[in-house]
Amino acid sequence: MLGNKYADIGIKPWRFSASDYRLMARDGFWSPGEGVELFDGSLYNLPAPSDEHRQVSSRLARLLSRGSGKPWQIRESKTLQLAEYTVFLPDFVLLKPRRYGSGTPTAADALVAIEIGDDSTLSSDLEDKLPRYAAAGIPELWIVELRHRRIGRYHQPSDDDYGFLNTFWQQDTIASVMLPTINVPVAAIIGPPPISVEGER
Amino acid sequence: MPVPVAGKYYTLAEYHHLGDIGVLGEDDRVELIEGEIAALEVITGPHMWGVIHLTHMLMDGFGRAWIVSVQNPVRLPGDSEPQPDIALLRLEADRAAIPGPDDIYLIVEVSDTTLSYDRGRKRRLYARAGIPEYWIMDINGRQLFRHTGPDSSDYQVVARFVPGDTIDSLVLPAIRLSIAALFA
Repeated sequence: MLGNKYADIGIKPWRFSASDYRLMARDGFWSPGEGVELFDGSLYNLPAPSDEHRQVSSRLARLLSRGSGKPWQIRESKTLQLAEYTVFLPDFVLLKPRRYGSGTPTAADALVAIEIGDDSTLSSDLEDKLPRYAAAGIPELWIVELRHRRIGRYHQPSDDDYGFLNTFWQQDTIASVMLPTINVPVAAIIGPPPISVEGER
Repeated sequence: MPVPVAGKYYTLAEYHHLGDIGVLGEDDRVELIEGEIAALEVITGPHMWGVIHLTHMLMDGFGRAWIVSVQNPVRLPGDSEPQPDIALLRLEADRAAIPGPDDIYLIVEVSDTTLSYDRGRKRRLYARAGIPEYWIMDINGRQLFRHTGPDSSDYQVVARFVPGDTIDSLVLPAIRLSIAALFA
């Protein structure tokens, strides 16, 4: 698990704050395209997204930005400050619509966060990040589980978990609790099932 | 299962740059260990007094044959800049630079809460850097470990000293200390 990397070797990692993170980002400690997150004061490099992850991202970007006059603003793969020592880069955040300027939105600005979990990130999305989203009071979280071809929709955060989980499969349509006008077939997000060997004939 | 995410690695230059841009300040008690920035443990009373006793014993009566550096950084290869409790330095060390392996005779860590770290990862770090002699003063165990013969993985010789013994340094043979006096 993320936070315990150092437990057995005796090092107590120095904790950087969200404002340290901003100073370091501005100074070019990492490039904007390089996914670096702050988790409990430690910086982590996110693995590069898989091809499937990228495809799902671009479908979601299209589906969530359709239409006009939406009561939300989309932010893709950008910083969201969840706590004094935690800054994530969710695949998507739907924010309350207002002018954000150049600052980092915080948990209070967010309506829905979406994480796309591929093989290299799903377990940390579920075990490490979900509790942080809940603890920060993010009202709704979707975790796209690519491997299982399903989406978990979590809402009503309390402490470090969510009170409700609904799972949506390939044939379902997922709707947002916070933003009910969002109503999307899961298949349109996850895409067609992988072609089987028979299908290739 | 694949490791989901990797902790960031800091080079020595990046570590120092964090000071320049105001992320790490002079008052921050940190060290760089093989690319990881570590917070130093809070100093306990027994730890502090262990350092004070030993510092006095290493300074008194030896003329001015070496420099005693207390809780200051040393610069080691492999993006490491730990702050050992005591480092005995050569008189010729550059008085404007952070000392490196060639400037160091002996390093001492005083351990009360960090014994497994000091006997594990730190010991290997000092050995690989070629620090000729490394002592661990184990406060709770009332004993002192002397490590010599560093090679690329670890120290090859360890000797344990308890009250009643006299510890002598192999690098600086003038140093002979009574363990009983040290823990008195």
